[in-house]
Amino acid sequence: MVTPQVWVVMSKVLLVCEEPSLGYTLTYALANFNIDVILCHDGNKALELLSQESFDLLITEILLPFYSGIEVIDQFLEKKSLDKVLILSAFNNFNFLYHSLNTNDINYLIKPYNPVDILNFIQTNE
Amino acid sequence: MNNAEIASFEFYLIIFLTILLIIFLRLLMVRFLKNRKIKFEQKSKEVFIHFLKIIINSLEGLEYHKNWLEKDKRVLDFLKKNYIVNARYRPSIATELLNLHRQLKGNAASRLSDVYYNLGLDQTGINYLKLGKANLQAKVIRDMTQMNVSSALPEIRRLLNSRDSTVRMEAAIALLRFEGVAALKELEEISGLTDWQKIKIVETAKRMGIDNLPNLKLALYSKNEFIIELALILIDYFDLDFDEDALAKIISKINYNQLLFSVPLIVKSKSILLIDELFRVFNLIQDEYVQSEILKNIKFFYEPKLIPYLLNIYYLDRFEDSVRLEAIRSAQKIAGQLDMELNISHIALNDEKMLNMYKHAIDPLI
Repeated sequence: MVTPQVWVVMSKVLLVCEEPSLGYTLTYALANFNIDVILCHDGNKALELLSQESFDLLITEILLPFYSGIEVIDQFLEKKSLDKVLILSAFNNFNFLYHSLNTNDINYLIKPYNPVDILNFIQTNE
Repeated sequence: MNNAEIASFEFYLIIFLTILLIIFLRLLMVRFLKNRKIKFEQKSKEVFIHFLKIIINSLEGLEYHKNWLEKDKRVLDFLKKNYIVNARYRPSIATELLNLHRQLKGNAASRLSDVYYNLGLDQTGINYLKLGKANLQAKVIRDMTQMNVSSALPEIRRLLNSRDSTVRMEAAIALLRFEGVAALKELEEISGLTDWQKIKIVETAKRMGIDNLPNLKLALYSKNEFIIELALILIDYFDLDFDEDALAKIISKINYNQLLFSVPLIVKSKSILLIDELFRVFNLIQDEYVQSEILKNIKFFYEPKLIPYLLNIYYLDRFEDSVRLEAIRSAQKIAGQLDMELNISHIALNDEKMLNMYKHAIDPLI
C-alpha cells in the first residue's frame, strides 16, 4: 500500500492506548504525517482531556485503567458522532460494544493491526 | 531468678534479637532489589520509547525499504552497546520489542523484526536455549517462534526431549509453526504432556489452518498416542476424509480420549463398520463418563441399526443408570429423526426405574 509522503492533516486526534510503547509508536508514526495526536494511557486522563479540549477524532482501546473505553466514547459522542471513533481491540467479539453503543456500525481494528489502517481512517474522516 | 537462669534468658534474648535483625535485613534487601528491578524496567522502557522516537522520526513514511536501518546504524549500535550487551536492561528491552511486535502487523512489524535481528537478540535467545533455565527456555522458544528465528530450530528440536513439560509443549508448538507439514515426524517423540498443554497445541494447530499442517490422515497411524488424539480432533475440526480401517484400529485399542474424539468422526462417516466396532468395545469400557459421552454424541448418527445397540444398553442393569438413561435418550432421539416408533420391551415398562428413564427420554421438554 502506498501512502502519501507529505500530507497535511488538520484533524486533532485523541489516542487512548494503555501500553506506552505502542501508544508512542503510533503517535510518532502519525506525527510523520503532520497529524496532531494527543496521547494518554488511561480512561481518567482521556475523560479529563475530552472535557478540556475539543478533538476531531477518537482512537481508543476498550480495556483501560480507571475508566473503560466505552465511557470515553460516551463522552466523545456528546459532541461528535460515532463515525469519528476508531476502536483498537485485542478481541473480535464486539457484542458487548454493540449493546453498549446501541449500534452495529462501529469502526474497529483488531490486534495485530497495521498503522497504515489508522492513517486511512484519519484520511477518510478528514 | 538465679544467675544461671539470667544468663540463659539473656542468651535466648540475643538469639531472638539476632533472628529478628536477620529477617529485617533480608526484607530490606528484597525491597531494595525489587525497587532496583522496577527502576531498571522503567529506565529500559524509557530508553526503548526514546529509541522508537529516533527510528520512527527518521523515516519519511510508513513504506518498507530493505535497508532502512542502514542510516540509523549509529543509533542501533549505541542501543546495542549500552543496553543490549548489559544483561540488566536486555530482558526488559527485548520484552518491550516483542510486545510491540505482537500488536502490529505489516511494515511496522517487519521493521521491528529487523531491529530485533540487528540488535543480536536472536543470538542471545539461542544462547539462552542452550544454557538457560526451563522457564526461560519456554519463554525464549515462544519469542523465537514469534520472530521466526529459524536458526534456533536445532536447539528447539533438542528441547522436545526437555525434562520440563512446558518446554516440550513450547518446542512442539514452535516446530508446528516453523515446519508445518514436516513437523509430524519430529513430534512423534513428544510425551508426558498435561491436558492443558495438549489443548494449547491443538488450539495452535487449529489457528495455523489446514494448509500448514502435516498430513493428518497419516497421523492416525502414529505410534504416539497424543499425535493420534491431535489428528482425530483436527480431522473433525477441518472436516477431512480419513481411513476407516485406521479409525477402527484406534477404536479397538480402547484409549478413552481417542474413543471420545472418534465419535464425531463415526457420526460424519456414517459407517456401520465403525458403529459395530464401537459397540463391540463399549462393554469393555470401565468409565461411566466415557460411556455416557459416547452415547450422548452418537445420537447425531440417524441410523436405524444403532437403536438395537442402544436399547440393549438400556435393558442391561450392569451399566450405571446415567449410562442407561443416555442410551434410551439417544435411541429416542434417533427414532424421532427417522419417524420410527420405539418398541420398548414389557419388562422395561413394568420396571419402575426403567419406565421413569423412558418417560424422561420421551419428554419433549427435556
